[in-house]
Amino acid sequence: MVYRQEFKKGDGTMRNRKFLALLFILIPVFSYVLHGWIFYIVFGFYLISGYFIDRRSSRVFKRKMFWFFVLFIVVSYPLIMPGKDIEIFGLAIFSKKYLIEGINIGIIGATMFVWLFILTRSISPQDVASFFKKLGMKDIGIVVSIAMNLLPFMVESIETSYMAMRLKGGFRWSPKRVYLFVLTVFRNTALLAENLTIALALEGIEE
Amino acid sequence: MNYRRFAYIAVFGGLWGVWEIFAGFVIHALNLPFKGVVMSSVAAMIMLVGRRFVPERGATFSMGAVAAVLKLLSFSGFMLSPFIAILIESTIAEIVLTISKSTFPGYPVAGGLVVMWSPLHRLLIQGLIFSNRIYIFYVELLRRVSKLLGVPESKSIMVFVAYLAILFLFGAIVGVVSWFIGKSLKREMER
Repeated sequence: MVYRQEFKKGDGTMRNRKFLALLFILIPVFSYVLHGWIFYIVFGFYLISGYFIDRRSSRVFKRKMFWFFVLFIVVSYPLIMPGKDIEIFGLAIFSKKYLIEGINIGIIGATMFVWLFILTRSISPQDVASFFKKLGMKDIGIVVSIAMNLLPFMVESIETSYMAMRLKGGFRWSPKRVYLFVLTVFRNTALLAENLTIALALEGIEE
Repeated sequence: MNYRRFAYIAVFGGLWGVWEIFAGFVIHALNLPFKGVVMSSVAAMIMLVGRRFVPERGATFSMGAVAAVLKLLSFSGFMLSPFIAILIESTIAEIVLTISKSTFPGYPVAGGLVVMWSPLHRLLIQGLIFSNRIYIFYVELLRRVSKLLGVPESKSIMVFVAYLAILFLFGAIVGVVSWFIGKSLKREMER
């Protein structure tokens, strides 16, 4: 199924996860306490070491959303904050102090993104399942696997409902039509749950 | 074993997961305004309608756990923030619905709090990512918006409170609609 191909599994192969998690937790701490050139050295070290720990983490920099996010902060921060001393076309619209501060925030954000990527890649589905098991939700593994297998049917059912409404006379975004569409989706979901209940009872999944 | 509970949690958790994976991906890619509000409103509706079918303690959190795991395993980029958001939203709804014993008053309150959480979550996550320096920016932004609206600087926090109140009201409407959708569907299924 095409939808299943869109799922990836965290490999969970990194053995020094606790050490990585500790380094990750230290990033916000360093962002609070470090200033000046020490700040740039530490965060530069983080970015470079992040690349060597997991080279795939450089994918973060290929994402448009990442650049949008960082550039938004770097540009809007000195624009909003008071004390304009940088002139563009004769107009003082930027604050130098806050431009540097904006760049620093951008560096912190980039580091957090890279290390979030590294950390999430080191977590496997089994880790997540055992996390919920510790919370007393031991069946969550079975429920998730059932839900994952149902995803293609659910997407198909939503698409069918939408197409049926369109064929009936065009899908106009009126509140009544949206309500009817939502009602159809929930009705199909409930019907699927009822069918699943019968199937589970026949299968006799034991606790 | 309660098969019905099991099935409804899997299916409604799955529906929430579908919403988070596919619609969430599109909404975030397009960078639409109020994307958090849209995401949490639909999420609130799914979990509240689901709760009508399984009015038991822990059901809403379980649905959230299923959706969160599905989101974590999906193809989209940084999955930690939505993962945390889903778990927190389901926890909020679970607490409210457990206290209200899944009766009608709990639905608008749960819906309101879930939708109201979305900007707070954004602030929390951005604070974690960009450090506390980002809050200085938001305080200044709030001061400017207050000035634009003619609100005195000392009362600029009221602008944010008013925004949260509007979101709560919107979420409460979602909660009421969910209650009636669940009611009509349940009646239809029992026929």
